Amino acid sequence: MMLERVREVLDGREAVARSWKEQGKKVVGWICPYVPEELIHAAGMLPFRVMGAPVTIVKGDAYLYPNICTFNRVVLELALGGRYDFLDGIVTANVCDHIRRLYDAWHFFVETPFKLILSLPHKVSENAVAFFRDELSRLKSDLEKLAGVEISDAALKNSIRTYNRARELLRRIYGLRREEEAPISGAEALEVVKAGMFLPKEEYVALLEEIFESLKRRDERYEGSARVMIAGSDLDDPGFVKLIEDSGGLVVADDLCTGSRYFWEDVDVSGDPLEALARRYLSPVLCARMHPYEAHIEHLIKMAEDFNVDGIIFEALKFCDIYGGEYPLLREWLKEKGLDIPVLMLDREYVLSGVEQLKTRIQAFIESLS
Amino acid sequence: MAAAIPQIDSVVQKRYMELVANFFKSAFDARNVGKKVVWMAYFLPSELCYTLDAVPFYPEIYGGVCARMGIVLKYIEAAESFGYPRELCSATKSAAGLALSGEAPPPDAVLSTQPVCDGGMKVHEFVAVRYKCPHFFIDMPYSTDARAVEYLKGELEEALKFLAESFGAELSEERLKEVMELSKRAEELHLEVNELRRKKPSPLLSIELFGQYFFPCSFLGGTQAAVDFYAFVAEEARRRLREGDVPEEKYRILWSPLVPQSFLSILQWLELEYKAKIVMEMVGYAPKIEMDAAEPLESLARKTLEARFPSLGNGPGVFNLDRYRKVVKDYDIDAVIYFAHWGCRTICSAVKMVKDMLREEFDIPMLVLDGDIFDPRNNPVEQARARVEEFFEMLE
Repeated sequence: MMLERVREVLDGREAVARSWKEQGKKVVGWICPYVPEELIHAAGMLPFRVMGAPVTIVKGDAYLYPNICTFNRVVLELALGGRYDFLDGIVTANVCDHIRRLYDAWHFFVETPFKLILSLPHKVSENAVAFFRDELSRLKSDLEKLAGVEISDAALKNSIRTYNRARELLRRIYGLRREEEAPISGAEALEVVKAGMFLPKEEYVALLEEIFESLKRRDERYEGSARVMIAGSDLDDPGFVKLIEDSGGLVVADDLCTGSRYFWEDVDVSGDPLEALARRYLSPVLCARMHPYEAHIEHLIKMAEDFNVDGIIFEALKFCDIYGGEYPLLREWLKEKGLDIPVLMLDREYVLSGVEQLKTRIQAFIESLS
Repeated sequence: MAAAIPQIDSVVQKRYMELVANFFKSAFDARNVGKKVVWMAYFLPSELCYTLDAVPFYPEIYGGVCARMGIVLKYIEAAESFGYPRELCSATKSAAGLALSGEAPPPDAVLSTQPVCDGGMKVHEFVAVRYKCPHFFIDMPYSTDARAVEYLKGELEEALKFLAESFGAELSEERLKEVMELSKRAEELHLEVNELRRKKPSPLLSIELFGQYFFPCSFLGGTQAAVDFYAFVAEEARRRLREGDVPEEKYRILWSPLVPQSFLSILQWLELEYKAKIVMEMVGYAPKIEMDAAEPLESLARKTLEARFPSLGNGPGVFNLDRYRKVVKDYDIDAVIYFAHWGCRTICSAVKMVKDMLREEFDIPMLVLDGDIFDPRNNPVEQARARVEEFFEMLE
């Protein structure tokens, strides 16, 4: 079945990295999609998204604090437990209060050979693009030292093209979800996107081409009593999406950094590649951290309309101030524009918990939509 | 209401209370005297407003005054009822609640930024929406090197242009230089006061300014009032040293980083009863900054990045720890009391990093007190006193 390889990757993502390392090559972990993977790829290293896993948090609480979101505490728990020992480097950006502190803890307490945090602007202006381009130039130079190679403009543009191809294929796959009866469920779509964060990109592009062709021919179709979009904080658990789909909704779109936000926009291949990366990665679409907030909300609503969504499930990780603070803005924005799109706000933990309570609220919401 | 504020017999405290009252009165009176009000994110430089003869209003700081007076809860609860998470910082919620209540001076413009926290950033966006007023976001880099100063200088320049345009005012380079001359003088005098606090015994108590020695140069930076205030405090400190009129000092404490405004009785109790003198607060520590009124915006960028921005540990952890090392050495600290404000991700998550470093490099103990800077619902006073007592027993 076409998703077999996807599930194999997700079940053994570290195995993908280890097999890469067996070829004598390096792996660089990245936290949050503000890190341009293209630079790591162009240096001949494997970009590997750092994610959590179901685990009991003990050290994560002690080394951070229980008011840090569970994504960051879980990730630190894994890193302190040696789960990310295979990484040759770790790169992130000052995305949010939680990630800044995760990076500090990683810096002081985890022995990864190379560590870097990018100073990432909060807005898009010529001043900001120039500043972030300088930051990416610093990253490029450090990655060159780590990999022992020089990243030429040609190599970087080649990487950008490969990544753009993956983005294009993902957008096509998402496009199939516009149909009334979709050939792919929301949980499956999340799995497909997620696999690309661990697999070597060339292999992933080939896999996506195969998946896209299979989906076009797929007899099995999904429908639900309501078409739902998920938006909000870091959500990489297909189990959460399945919970919605088991409750009668069909998840047809998302505004997640593990979903559409990861691939929605391409990088320009003409001109200076570092500047092109700076412009693309400063997009307000990538996260609600960016200013002005309207750009992100407009994108979210446009997607809801394009995918003919009946309602939005807006989830925020507990203690996530960016998405916790975005919700009142979204509500005011909808009111101001006179848009009648129902929104369910859910407070959640990174590892799925309180399932029965969540299910009750989701079921009631979906019933209200249908 | 004012009786809730712990008052001591101190000319410094009296003068400070007058300064704060006049500062907020000027925002409430602004419309009557034809001045514009700018709602400012915590730690954005007030000099921007004074350059355009506008009045800055810092909602989180006003929330702190309300916390001292015991009237902040209604604003916090208004924000929670509106949909802000209970876990959000109470200072931030007080700002949202003030906007929702309509009881604060309405803004003619909003200047916001990310530090000190993401929650504050989102709430200031909401303030601009609520009041339908012009809003400019000042982007703060995550470093303090020359490139960061240059970047922030550009942002401050844009912010000044935005204010001038919004108010139909003319931007005067000469006025900017005057403001920066006063700002520089206040910084110098603030450093002088901090320097006097290093003396053994230290001539000033933290409670005299409610732990907010940074207030004048942060929120009144660029005014004569700030200059006069620090000059007065420095003179009073020198008088006390000269005349031997110095409060008794058994321990020298670094309070880190923020002083809880709803919980000031603990400071009073510590300093007056236990003679554990808070000789510095992390939030108030300021390094010497190169400021040149001839280069006003570069100086302002440097002040914002080097003095204000990292004071709550907003910058990289490496930078944060270096500050602790310097303060502990310079002020000959015996112990650190770390107030882990539950609403603040940044403050709380630095606990282990700071505690480990103090123990390993200085053999200095650190007491962690969990609580909330504004919200009286989350401050178990008796429990905190018991923990402090245990801590001092251990020190003895």
